[in-house]
Amino acid sequence: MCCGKTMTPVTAFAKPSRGQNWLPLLERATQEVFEIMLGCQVTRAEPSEPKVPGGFTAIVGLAGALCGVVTVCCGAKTAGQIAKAMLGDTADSAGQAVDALGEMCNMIAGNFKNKLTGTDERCMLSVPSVISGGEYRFHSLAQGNSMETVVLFEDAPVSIRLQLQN
Amino acid sequence: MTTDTSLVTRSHEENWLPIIELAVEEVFEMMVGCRVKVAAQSENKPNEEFTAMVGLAGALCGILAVCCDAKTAGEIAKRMLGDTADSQEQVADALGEICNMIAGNFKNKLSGSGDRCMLSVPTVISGGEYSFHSLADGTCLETVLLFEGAPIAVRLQLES
Repeated sequence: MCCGKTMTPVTAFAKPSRGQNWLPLLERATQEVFEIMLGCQVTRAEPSEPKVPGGFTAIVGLAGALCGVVTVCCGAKTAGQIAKAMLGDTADSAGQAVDALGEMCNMIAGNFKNKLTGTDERCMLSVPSVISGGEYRFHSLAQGNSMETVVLFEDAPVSIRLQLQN
Repeated sequence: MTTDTSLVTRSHEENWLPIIELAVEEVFEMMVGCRVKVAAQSENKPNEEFTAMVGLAGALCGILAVCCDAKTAGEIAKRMLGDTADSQEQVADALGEICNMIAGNFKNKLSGSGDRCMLSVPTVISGGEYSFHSLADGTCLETVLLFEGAPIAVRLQLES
């Protein structure tokens, strides 16, 4: 699975005020996880790209020094492609798509927090959860900073969002 | 809220259902001003139009979820916030807060876990067509309680 790449450990953001300048870290954490887990390079989407359809949403909670949620949202077809890239061409069930997207979200959240110097050991992750369906709304009670990046995976948008509690 | 139990270690987690039920009853009594009572799960499955969830991290890793239908979620919001609380956002906020308080009350009842288990921010999913999956692969405990005759499911899913 691993292609010799490693996740870069530390950044220059030693003590950022909450959420400031963290978008580049989130983007880098996302790019590294896609490269290591799926063997592909994702590009950042332009703001004019179409909005992500709400087929699948994976969620990981952050607790401790950082309190909030990381979500990864994409269409059902894209979730299936992620599962195949991660688990092989036979991974075509909805359950495997759920597992793969949940694991991607977990790794992005973990990689992101590891890039925050001094936060790693004081911030913990909850178990990933995944919502799928044709009609649902997702509402976070986090009231602090929110940042989002959209990347293209096989030309389809994948949204990664960090929502923090004050 | 009553504190402490004799259940200290994870090896007893299959016995935590009464603690969850007590935590739910206390939160409803304090926050919603009414008593809820445990119901038979087989006869009372809620239509899960609303799911509020809170992540647990640290000594306990998993999620706690509260599920009910839209009418029940709206009624809880009105009881908590007043009769004008009828927007989708207010309903989600109320159910998320209930879930957060149940999770906090539950973990405080586990001796030794209170300060080593932390909660993430609550999130709420609503809609007519969705499925909720947790990747937690350990113990799953579920109870159903009746709020004004309507079922509310409370589920704890733990990582092994």
